[in-house]
Amino acid sequence: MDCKAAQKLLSSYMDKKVSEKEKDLLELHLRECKTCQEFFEEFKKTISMVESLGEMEVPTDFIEEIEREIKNVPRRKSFAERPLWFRMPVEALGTVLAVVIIFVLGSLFIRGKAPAPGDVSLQKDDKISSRWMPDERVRALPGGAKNLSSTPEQADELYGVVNKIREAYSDMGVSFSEEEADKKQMEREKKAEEKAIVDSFKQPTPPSSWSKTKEAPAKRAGKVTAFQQEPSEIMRRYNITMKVDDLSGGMNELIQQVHSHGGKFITSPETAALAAKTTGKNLMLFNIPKDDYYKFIWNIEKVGSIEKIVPSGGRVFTGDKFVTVELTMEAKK
Amino acid sequence: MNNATESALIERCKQGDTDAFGELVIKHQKKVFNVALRMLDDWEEAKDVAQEAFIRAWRAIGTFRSDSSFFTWIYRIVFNLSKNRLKGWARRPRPDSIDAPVDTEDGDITRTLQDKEPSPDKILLKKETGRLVKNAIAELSIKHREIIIMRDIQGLSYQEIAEVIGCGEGTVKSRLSRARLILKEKLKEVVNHGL
Repeated sequence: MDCKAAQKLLSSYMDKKVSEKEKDLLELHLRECKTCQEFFEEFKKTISMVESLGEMEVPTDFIEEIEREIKNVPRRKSFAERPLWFRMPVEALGTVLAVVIIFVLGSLFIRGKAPAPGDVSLQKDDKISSRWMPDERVRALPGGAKNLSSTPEQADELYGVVNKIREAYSDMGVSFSEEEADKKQMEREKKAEEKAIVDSFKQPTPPSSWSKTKEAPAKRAGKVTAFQQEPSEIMRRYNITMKVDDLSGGMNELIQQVHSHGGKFITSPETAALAAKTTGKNLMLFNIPKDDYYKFIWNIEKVGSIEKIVPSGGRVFTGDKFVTVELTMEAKK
Repeated sequence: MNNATESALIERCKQGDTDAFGELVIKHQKKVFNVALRMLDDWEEAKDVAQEAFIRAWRAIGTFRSDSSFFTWIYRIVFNLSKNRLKGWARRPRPDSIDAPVDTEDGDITRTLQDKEPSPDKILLKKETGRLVKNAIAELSIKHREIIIMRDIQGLSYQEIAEVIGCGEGTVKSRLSRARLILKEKLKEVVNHGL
């Protein structure tokens, strides 16, 4: 064993976390090497100095202030405890968000393309169905569908996106029921939501100051705009929704890590890649279970081709509130 | 307090029992406060962050999974709050920071702060060794600082550290070794020649 290896082992040796073989080799080296003996002595003194800092007693009014606070601000009821009337708008939110995301994604790669021979073009008087019938799937696209024309392949792809989003929400416990959505309100607010979502794709959200300011919860499902106001209660309980922007060089690693942590993509990697052709950016939305968030971050850090994650848009639940972050992954040079 | 007792307390907390939560605070307050204190090296900020950690835990207790450890959970919250505050300071010096200059009519001057710490910590601060050690820890990167705090100040096991950080014990070993070696270099003069 050389000096460098011996010095690297000292920490584990002090904590009795070395194997028998490592212990024997290290002790043999220490007996023979005066430099490492001195190094070890200094090392032990350093740790001892740190240990001597000890722990301070808590301030006298510490617990009283917590008690006052929690008695004034009651614990939030869990989703399941809330009355049905309160839960309904949250479910409607899922529908509204899904429909708007489909519309935006659909627009990204369909709008503006000239119709090719064989295209399926919707007629002016076509009615938009609120049912997701396979043979009505293109027509089922909301709002601007009247202006869309697509090939059957594009229609397949769009329908795939619809299903993936529905599955993702379904996994979170949101049951979709178009009848439950307030359609009139959806129409009124759709325009504003579409713009906000498109903007959120185009412009990075300003970095969060991680301030202590409490964010007001969304009162009505229809008011919620992705990444700008509170996500659904279900997301709040179980998931962290993250937006990853500009994943050059790190897409595969990200997909692997999201899956290994039980994450679900809201934007599928395929759709993100397709959207990238139009926008020039890789944009992905996915949920990571809250408890796995930090493990996920650390694992990503360990992935070879990704150097770091810079918190900068998106929504991350940190304990009792959401903060806005954007994760930018930089490829190693 | 054994695990069964703690689980029972958590269940009572979920029903809105603030007294049950009080018992959890009493059990963990010292560790939580000291994490914040060593991470931030500021008594008032540490108190604020540690209290916020408990308040957040209370508000989110409904989402706490009974198969995980409250200790690990509250540790993660306080470490993350501390780290966020440090990042905030890195972006813009805190208003009452020693490093923040005071804007006066004669230009910026360096602030001289009164020591606000209560006597136990004040006594320790008077000791030069303690001050130098604390300074050296404060100079470590955040991930090295947190692992030194967990292991050498709070005496957590490798397994507990791994759970808090969310990594394997192998990572704990290597990161701790690296952190201690860096710290040794920083404190070399003090160790070899005293004060």
